[in-house]
Amino acid sequence: MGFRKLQHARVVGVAAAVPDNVRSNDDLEGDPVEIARTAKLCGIEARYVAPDGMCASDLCQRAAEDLLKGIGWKRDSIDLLIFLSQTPDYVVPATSCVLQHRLGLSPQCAAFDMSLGCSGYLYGLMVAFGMVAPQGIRRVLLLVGDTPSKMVSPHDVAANVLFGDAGSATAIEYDESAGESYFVAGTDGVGGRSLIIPAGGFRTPCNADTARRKPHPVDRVLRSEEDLYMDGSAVFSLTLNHVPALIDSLASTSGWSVGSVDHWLFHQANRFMLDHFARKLSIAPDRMLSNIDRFGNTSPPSIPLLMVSEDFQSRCKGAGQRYGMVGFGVGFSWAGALLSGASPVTLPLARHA
Amino acid sequence: MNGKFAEEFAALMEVPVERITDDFRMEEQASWDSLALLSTIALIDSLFQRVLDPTELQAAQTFGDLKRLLEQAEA
Repeated sequence: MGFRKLQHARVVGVAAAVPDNVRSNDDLEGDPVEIARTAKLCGIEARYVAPDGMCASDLCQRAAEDLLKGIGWKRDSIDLLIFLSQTPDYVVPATSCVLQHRLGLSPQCAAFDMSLGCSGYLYGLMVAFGMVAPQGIRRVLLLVGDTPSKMVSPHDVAANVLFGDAGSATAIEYDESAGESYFVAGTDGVGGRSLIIPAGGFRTPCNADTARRKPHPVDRVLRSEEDLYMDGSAVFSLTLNHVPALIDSLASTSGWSVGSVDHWLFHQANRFMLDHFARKLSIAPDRMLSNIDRFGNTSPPSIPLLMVSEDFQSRCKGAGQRYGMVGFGVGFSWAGALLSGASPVTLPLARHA
Repeated sequence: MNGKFAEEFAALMEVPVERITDDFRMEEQASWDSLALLSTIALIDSLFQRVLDPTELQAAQTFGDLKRLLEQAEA
């Protein structure tokens, strides 16, 4: 498993934005019994859904505007912009380049995209922490967002219950006095078939046939090859096989026990999985944050969305706190981090119209 | 293996525990759906620290098949 011990980097601040449009379980189309059963297991009461024309980059831009104002960073002081998403604006160019212009950042700002799902925030954080240095890149703006609601078939009740849209912005800075941070990451590509949009890339370009919705051979849900397919039990099985080992690896490489971590921020996959991990890993309920009831599974921005919650802010005051973060999902890909130090500045959640 | 496993499996299948015998056929139950598969994987992980392959689980037709899968995993 990939492991990195990094020093001299810290998270300065975090902001997040969701679309203004909230969709409750009562607003969803489909069999009410199936909706209620899925919603209960997943622990989801509502989610925010981006309207046509609103992209992950719009939500990230809004979060970035709020963040830069909140922490007082000048735009020309940002050396690197990373945009991490699976719902970019275009096939080409990279959305990070589009956002560099829209945010009015300096032409000297490096920018690139990363493509990952539910493990993505930790990968983005690991790259940002790894790239800051005394000279050169001192300040990184990490923009992580997704609009998974746009990937799913309207006939796919489970997916429509599960997914919500969000964007986030995280400011990372070189800091000589920052404490040690630990990152662990891994991949099992065989799991790619369990969570996939088969068409729309260059392997299988979109055409009239890939757009046609027909009963899927596995679950009979009306879905096209351009819609997201998820084999929930296979994803869960992969998660059970890899996430406990990830936590063990984080604990053994850092020397921090699971119980010594003050706050655990897991990717908000679904309530059922979070409860199972809390029990299995003996994490006390008051140390395991969750907001999935109000946002659903937002894929990579779910952890920064947790960080801007009032719950996180009220619990995480003062210096010397230890944070554990864990992401896992599409790929199959997973990553975790243990961070310590003063709590980052967090901005109130924005609702973007 | 029968006691607690049968008791909790009955709860997730929403049937009385007396019905959970080796001949109990999951596919005859409306409650045996994708959510029940997830719950069964979690239950087996909690009770036996085993992560079942979902394709093997889907191939199991009876509670007896489930128990045999677990015995094979232990062997």
